[in-house]
Amino acid sequence: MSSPQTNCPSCGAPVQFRWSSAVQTVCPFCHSILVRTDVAIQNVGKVGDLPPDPSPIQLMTSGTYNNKHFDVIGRIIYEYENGGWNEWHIVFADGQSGWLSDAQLQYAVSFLVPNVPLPTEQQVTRGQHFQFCNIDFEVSTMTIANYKGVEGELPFPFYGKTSMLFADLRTRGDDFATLDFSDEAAPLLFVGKTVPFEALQLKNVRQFEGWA
Amino acid sequence: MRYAGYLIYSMMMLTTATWAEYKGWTFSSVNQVKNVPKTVRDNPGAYRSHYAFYPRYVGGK
Amino acid sequence: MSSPLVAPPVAKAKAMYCPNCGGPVEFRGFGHALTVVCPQCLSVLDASSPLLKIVQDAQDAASRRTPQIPLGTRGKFAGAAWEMIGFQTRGVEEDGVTYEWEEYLLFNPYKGSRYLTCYQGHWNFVTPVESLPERRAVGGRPAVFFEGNLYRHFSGAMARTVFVLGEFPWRVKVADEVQADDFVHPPSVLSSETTSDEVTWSKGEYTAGADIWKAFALPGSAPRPQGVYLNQPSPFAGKVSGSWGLFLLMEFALIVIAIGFGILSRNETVLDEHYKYSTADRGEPSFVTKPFEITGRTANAELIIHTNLINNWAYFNLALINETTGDAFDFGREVSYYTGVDSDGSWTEGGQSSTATIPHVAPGRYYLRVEPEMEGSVEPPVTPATAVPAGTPSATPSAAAQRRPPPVKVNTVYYEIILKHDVPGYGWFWLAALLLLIPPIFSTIRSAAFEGRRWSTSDYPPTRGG
Repeated sequence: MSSPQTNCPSCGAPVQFRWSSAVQTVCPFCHSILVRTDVAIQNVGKVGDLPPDPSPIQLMTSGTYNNKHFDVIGRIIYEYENGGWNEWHIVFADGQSGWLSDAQLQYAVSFLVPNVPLPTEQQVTRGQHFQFCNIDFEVSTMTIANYKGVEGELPFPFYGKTSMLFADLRTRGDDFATLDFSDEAAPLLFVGKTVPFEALQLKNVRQFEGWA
Repeated sequence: MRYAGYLIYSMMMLTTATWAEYKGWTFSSVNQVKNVPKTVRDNPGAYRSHYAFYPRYVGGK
Repeated sequence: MSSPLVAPPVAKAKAMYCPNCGGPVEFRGFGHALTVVCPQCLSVLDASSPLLKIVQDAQDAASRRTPQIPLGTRGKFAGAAWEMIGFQTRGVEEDGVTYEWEEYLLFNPYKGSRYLTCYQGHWNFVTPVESLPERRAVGGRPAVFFEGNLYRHFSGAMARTVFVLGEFPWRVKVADEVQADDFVHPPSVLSSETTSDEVTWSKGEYTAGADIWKAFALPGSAPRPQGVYLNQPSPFAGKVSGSWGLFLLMEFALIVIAIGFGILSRNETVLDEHYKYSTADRGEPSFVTKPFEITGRTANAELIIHTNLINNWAYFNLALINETTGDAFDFGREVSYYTGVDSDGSWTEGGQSSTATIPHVAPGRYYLRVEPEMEGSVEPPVTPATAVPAGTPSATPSAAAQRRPPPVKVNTVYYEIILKHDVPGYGWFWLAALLLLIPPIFSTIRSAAFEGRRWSTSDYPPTRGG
């Protein structure tokens, strides 16, 4: 599954998968969402015009986490009752995939933790404690969110979902975890750390009008 | 220095106390008298200590 | 290899128009705003929809507050540039009085939001906290442990929004209430806001008004702070324990020096004799001791009289006379001791011994002249043919002295005179030890008074006389 370049089935423009494990990408020209299977590339829809979004991170941004360099190659935009946030898909030099979340300019880097027993949506309430990766977490926030948009390359197909529950878990230190119930049948756990903006040493961030 | 004031003050107290002890300063009710004659040894009654404090001494002289 | 999706610089959102008054509403926060206030009519508007919707009608003019840092001002703080984009005042009510403070929302498009709070001239730079402080109870009061420090609960109250201006990345309107708690570890404060949905924590650092004025290039100077604020750093911080530490060090030095003196003093007993005096004795009551040598350096001597007096008194005229030079130390000591039993129990007054310190006794050959007196002692006549020391009034026997009235009662005393030379005295060291106590006590009192003023506005005011 390593065709680096192919053509968009919708508009024919050349589309490149920069990351070998990418399952979904968005055609940069016609904004069609393209999902890659073993056999072919499928067009599953279009991304609406992304609304003006204030995240300083963009697809060409790169940075550092735990002394390892990463590139930003994809994004999912969520919206909820009191705003929205971005989950930026980042890829490290060794091919490892992670997520850099930007929620009102508070940043966290986390990684999928597979093959662990997870609670169901009904079993999670605010203030509850869970042990993941030998760390004691407390549920701090529960958010119901809708899909708003995607961009770039993602490790799984993702579009159009609504009313997804996300539970944020925190600790006394900077450990951070998210329980993602976007697929009710298969909840996902991401564990990582909150990071201050400076620690990421981001390069090629967006510029803001009036800000040097 | 953080406690310069207290340090100076305490060094002053220490050196003053040491000097006072060394020099033997006292609040003393002892009077110094000069030229006591040798004859007092033979006749102690002749010596009159008019300088000693005695509340009941009416000192009629 | 640039993708067409890489965006140009984010443009400032275009101004929109207030649905209430039609006036322009400016946005500074690049799309983060959920609430914005029309600067003309002060209506609170919902900024999350494409068209501004009215959340709250115009706040009345009477409630308008003017921020000390104007909206849109930029300042450099904590290594980054911030723009003041939102302002609100909130208050808590206690006993019918509303205590109001200001909050300034500072925005940086990369780093997010910070806040400045101001109350009676006391400023705090506040950063949101993303981790969870650990709740504890200390001394029966709530506290939280965070980043290695214990923050004590200072106050908790319902904070009510009084006035809003500018824009906010959350939904806010006048009269909103939230449970606000402050935990202090000067110069920091951990504040929590609790709603039914969540608890939000933030950490404030006490900041001097002058630093704010400098950072935002504000005209004039910061208003003077009044009172002591909850996380205002104490000017005595660390000084109290430090001065007590120095005190202990100095006391130790004092003890070492005193012991040194004690060791170096020879404390030589040069005379130790027992005598008896009685008013019944005929003849001259005064006498001289045998001569004795005082050696060593010029130092203080100590004369001790031990008596067997009970419910009686005796007076001793004493003179330490240098046989060679004729210099003498002339003094007297009364010894009185009374004891009895009354309704309160047994009592004593005075003592059976007395001590005198004789200063600067030079080495030499000395003797002691002793003249005891007790009740009923009669002054013996002066033998005229003796040369008395110059300067004394001439001793002429008076008529009264010639008489010898019969003694009312015979008084007798057995006594011991001890004379020691080169004795250590510790009086000066005790005095120094006491005087050394004054500055740390003073420091402690001042620091305690400062903390008392701090906590007087808390939920735990120190009680009077406590």
